[in-house]
Amino acid sequence: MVLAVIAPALHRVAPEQAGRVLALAVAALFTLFALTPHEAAPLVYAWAPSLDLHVSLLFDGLGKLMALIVSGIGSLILLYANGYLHGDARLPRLYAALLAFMGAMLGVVLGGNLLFIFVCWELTSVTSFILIGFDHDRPAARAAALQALLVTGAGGLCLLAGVILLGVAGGSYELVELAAAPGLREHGLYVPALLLVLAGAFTKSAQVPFHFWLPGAMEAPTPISAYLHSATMVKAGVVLLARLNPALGGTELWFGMLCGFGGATMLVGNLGSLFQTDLKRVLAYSTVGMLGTLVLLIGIGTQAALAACVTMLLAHALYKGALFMVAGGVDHAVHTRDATVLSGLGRAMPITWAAATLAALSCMGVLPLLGFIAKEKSYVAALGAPELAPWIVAASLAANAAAFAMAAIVGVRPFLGRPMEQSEHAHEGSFDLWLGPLLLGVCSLGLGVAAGWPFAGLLEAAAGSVYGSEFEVALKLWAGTEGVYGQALLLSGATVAIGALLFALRAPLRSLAGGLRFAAALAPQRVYQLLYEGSLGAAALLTRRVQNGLLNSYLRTVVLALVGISLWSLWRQPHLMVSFNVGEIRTYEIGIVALILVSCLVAVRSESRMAAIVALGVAGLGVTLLFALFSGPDLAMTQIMVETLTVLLFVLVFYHLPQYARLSSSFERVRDLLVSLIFGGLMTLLVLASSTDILDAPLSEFYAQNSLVKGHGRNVVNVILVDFRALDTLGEITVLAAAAIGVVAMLRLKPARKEGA
Amino acid sequence: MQWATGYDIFLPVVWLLVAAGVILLIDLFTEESERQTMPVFFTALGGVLLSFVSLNPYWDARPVVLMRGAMIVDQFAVYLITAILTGTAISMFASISYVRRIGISLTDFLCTLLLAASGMVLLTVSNDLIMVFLSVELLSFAVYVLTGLNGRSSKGAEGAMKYFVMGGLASAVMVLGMAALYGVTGEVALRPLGDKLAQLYSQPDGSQYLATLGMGAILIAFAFKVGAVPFHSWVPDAYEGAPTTVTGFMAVAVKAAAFGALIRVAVAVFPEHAGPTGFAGDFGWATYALWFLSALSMILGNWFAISQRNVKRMLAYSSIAHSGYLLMGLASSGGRTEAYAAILFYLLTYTLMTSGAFAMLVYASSGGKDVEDIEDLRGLAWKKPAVGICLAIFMFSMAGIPLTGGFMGKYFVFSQAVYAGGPYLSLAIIGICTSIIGAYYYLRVVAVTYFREADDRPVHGREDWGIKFALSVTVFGTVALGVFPQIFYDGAKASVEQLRVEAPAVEGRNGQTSQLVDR
Repeated sequence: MVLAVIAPALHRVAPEQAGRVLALAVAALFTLFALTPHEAAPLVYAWAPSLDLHVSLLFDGLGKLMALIVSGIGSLILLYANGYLHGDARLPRLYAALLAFMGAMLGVVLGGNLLFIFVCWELTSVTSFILIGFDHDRPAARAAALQALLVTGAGGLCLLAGVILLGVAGGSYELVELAAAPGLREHGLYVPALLLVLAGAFTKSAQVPFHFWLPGAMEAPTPISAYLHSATMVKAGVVLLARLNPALGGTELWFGMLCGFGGATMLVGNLGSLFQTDLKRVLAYSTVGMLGTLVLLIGIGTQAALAACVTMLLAHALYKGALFMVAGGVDHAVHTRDATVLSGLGRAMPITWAAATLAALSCMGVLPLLGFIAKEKSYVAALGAPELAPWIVAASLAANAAAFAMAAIVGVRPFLGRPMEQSEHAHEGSFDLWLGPLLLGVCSLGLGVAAGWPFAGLLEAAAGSVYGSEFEVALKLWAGTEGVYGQALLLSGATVAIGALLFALRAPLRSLAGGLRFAAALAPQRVYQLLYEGSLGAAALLTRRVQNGLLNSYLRTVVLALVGISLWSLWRQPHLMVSFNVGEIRTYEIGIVALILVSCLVAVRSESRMAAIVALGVAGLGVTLLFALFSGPDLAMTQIMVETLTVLLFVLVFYHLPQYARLSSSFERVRDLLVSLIFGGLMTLLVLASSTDILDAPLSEFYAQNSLVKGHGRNVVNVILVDFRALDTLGEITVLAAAAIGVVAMLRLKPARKEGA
Repeated sequence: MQWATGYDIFLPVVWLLVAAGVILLIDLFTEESERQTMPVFFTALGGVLLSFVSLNPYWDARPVVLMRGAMIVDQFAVYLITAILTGTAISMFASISYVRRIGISLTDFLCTLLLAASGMVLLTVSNDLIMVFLSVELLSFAVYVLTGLNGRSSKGAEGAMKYFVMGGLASAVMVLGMAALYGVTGEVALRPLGDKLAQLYSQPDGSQYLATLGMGAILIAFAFKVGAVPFHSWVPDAYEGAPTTVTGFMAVAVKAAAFGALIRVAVAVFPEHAGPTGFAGDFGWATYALWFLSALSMILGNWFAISQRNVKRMLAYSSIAHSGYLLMGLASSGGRTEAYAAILFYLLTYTLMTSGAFAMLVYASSGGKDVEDIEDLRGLAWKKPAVGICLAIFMFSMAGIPLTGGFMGKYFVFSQAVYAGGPYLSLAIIGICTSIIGAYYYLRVVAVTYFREADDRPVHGREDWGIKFALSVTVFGTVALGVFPQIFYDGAKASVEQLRVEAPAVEGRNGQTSQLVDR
């Protein structure tokens, strides 16, 4: 199913009608979803079974509800994009990205395996990165895209860690099995896993303090904002929390975290929206607020709260999608989105006006619309919260009142009043532009009037799947005035009154908050900027310090590490036996040692390269003498050869080099001296300590004894060469041959051709 | 004959050497010219292919030891050799026209490349300290030469020089460590050495400090070879200076071989080197060391990478960071096969995506000039859409975004660290935080290729079929590893299980140990 959605991304040939055709295709998908009955059992396809990775689709109430929202609004958005960016050469790209996003998003909402959800989750981040940066000519759009990606990507990785922890704690990645896993909430990994998962969900769903990326993401073209940032992507976090509620919910921590962050987000978002003037930013802030409300409701976790949550989810998707599209339509018509300027467009754009009014009314929570039912339910839920009920109610009241004012600013004000200057040019957009918002607005009304029909059963099932077991959700337009319902109704009245007041006071509010808003609403933004630039700067600085390009300091690291590990191992040794009893010291030994020491000093202090090389050679010969004296003539022979060759090579190479120059400061010289002394001292210590030798008997006896028996030959050397060490001999012959080739190649070497190799 | 059957395990190496020799002969008897390209290239490719084919009997075989246990061929080696040969072949394909374009002789290049590859193959089958050292040197010297092959570039010379000097020191440290271990135990073969060490630590006789020093020194040398912080300092200079395809080869094959050897040594010699109890026992220090190496590599590698403007340098630091992730797997392994399998899987995906990314840089290079600044890539995706998608896939994979091999690798390694718990959980958290930094600079590359206006610089790879082939293979592999991880992971797991199997040793003729392959 998901693939079937991504596939049409390739069909982007027919330029004129492509959008409409694609919209129809997605609408067909919507119908398919609508006709498929929801069921609680997941459909599992094995992907990589031994890794616990399954593609399992959970088409339960919540899954179906979200799938319907995603595909339904998606088809309208495709249509809308066709009108909004008509004739733009980048339109096919937009379709492709939108459809890819849609596929990933369906995966998130339908996924029944946490890993699968995570995979799709990351894909939504990536595709949304492409979508937000769609206007890539503008630096602002690029920066916003990167910001959104960094914030959600960081959250995504936290989520991955959380998911792995959950898998370890619960023994499975399947949601259904996790919910049934006993003792998960008491498990030691519960707290870290929960915190990590919440970090992922909160970044994705723009909760305070991570909310700042969402208004920034308004740089995207309106169809994208309308789709990603109202109806779908930002809901992913909420959906994830809802999915995990049966498995993780019900603890103090869960309640506290969700209510705390959700409540704060609700207030910041809704009140923040009043301080904005750009229509899209107003809507973005209000979306942040709504996401906070949803998280808060999941946090409360009672049956009433979850019923309110799913109702609100649907209501919000309907009206916010419509409002975004209206804002885009207005922008398209008069080329401004400034709420302080827009007015009197109603006459020029009657259909858009109607759509806007319906959506705004639903958002305000006015009586016959779906938004009203949702708001009532949320008040009931707030009143019934197990703890902190008064606070939650007060916060909800403030938030809803602000939402009321916001809806009036966006959905009502631009269409009423004295016609603005540009309104002469204003005209109704094409069919594609107004169909979407109008349809969504009508849905808000229709679903409200019909009290959720035909979605009532679905909402019930959705609430049930969040809660963990089915329960009855009474979806009524008029719930009566008794008990909590009466209080809720009272609160609704208060909401309208305060909201109207706020709307009337919007101009002073904006000026009042002019100085305040940057401090309050944008503080996390500033923290992000500081972090971002700070870490870039620090990285550059640190790179210059550590990666200074000086071989000298690189080498020092290696030597010091070796010294460190040696000293540590020596220190760990309880009884270190260092024998200073080296026996009788003869005079010529002292002479040789003195010779070595002096030549080393000369090598270090010398001002000329040649002298240094010669001094090194002398030191080497001194060592050779020592070998020769201590019954190691073969070793001494080898050493003489090596020393001679080394000196010759040094002379050859250094001949071309310039004179020494003093480049290092005296501090550096002292430091290097110290390092050398430490290293030398350590080596001495090691030699003294390891003077006991455990070496095997020489091999020669083996050969002498076995040459006749196993090799059937009397000439021991021959047997060794062709029998025991046949491979070595073969190797030596090969080396000789290769050397011969090399010599020939050198002889044929043309001048100035190559070096090395 | 019985022993002959055993010795066909040399074939993978022999074929590489034969190809190198034939190329030398071709170079000797023909003039350097355009017409030389195809015969030379196909000789080299033939060597690699034959080498791969000659592995065939060992795919499902039990381990075989040879030369008194100095060498061992098991599926672990076979898996690594496959990765190494893949990396080699991809570099060869990417180099066909590139190498000559920047003024290097193709024969020199291919010959040295094959020598390096043979060193790597030997390293993966090395089973005693001497073989380990010899093969490390064989591969290192070939790679030093490769790094400095472009004599005209001062950066190349600088990188090669630094690499050589530092590498020399690392080799010295390794020999010192091996000498210390040999001195303490009188063994060079890995497994008996490990047994003796375990015995030594359980009944201390006063020479453990030397054993600790020896293992520490070997660890330092390997840390140098895989480019782990703080022994990483050669990496940026060498990577930047080397011709791009060589850099790809270094990043991929050298690392795979070195990690393979490190795992083999660690499993045999550090018997309880890590795991939930690793911090306590006698080998606790090794765990601490791995922990710090891994953490530092992840943090500094990623952090340094973000301030780089030069793409090759950025990838160099990113390879340091990838070493960190791999070391995390090793540190937290605790001897579990799953952890080693995770490392192997990561190595395989790393091989594909990294060599692909470097092939991409070759593709995007213009004329004789390498891609240097990240801005050189701007708008590439609109010039060549298919290439843009390839680049995006490589970068997504490196950043660990799902449906690519990179994500699966990260997932395996991180879940091993989480599973080990305790101090490794903190390592996993460091890994995740640094991956976020990593995502930034990888995706910045994608952003530049997509979101910036294209300039009119010509893209050179257009007519280069070798590059195209290399890109197709790597992209396909990267995605396949991400979408169908199962087969590769199971293969890795099966191969790792053999690491602990006691290889049957049959006394063959003349005291050499060899036996028939169990088919």
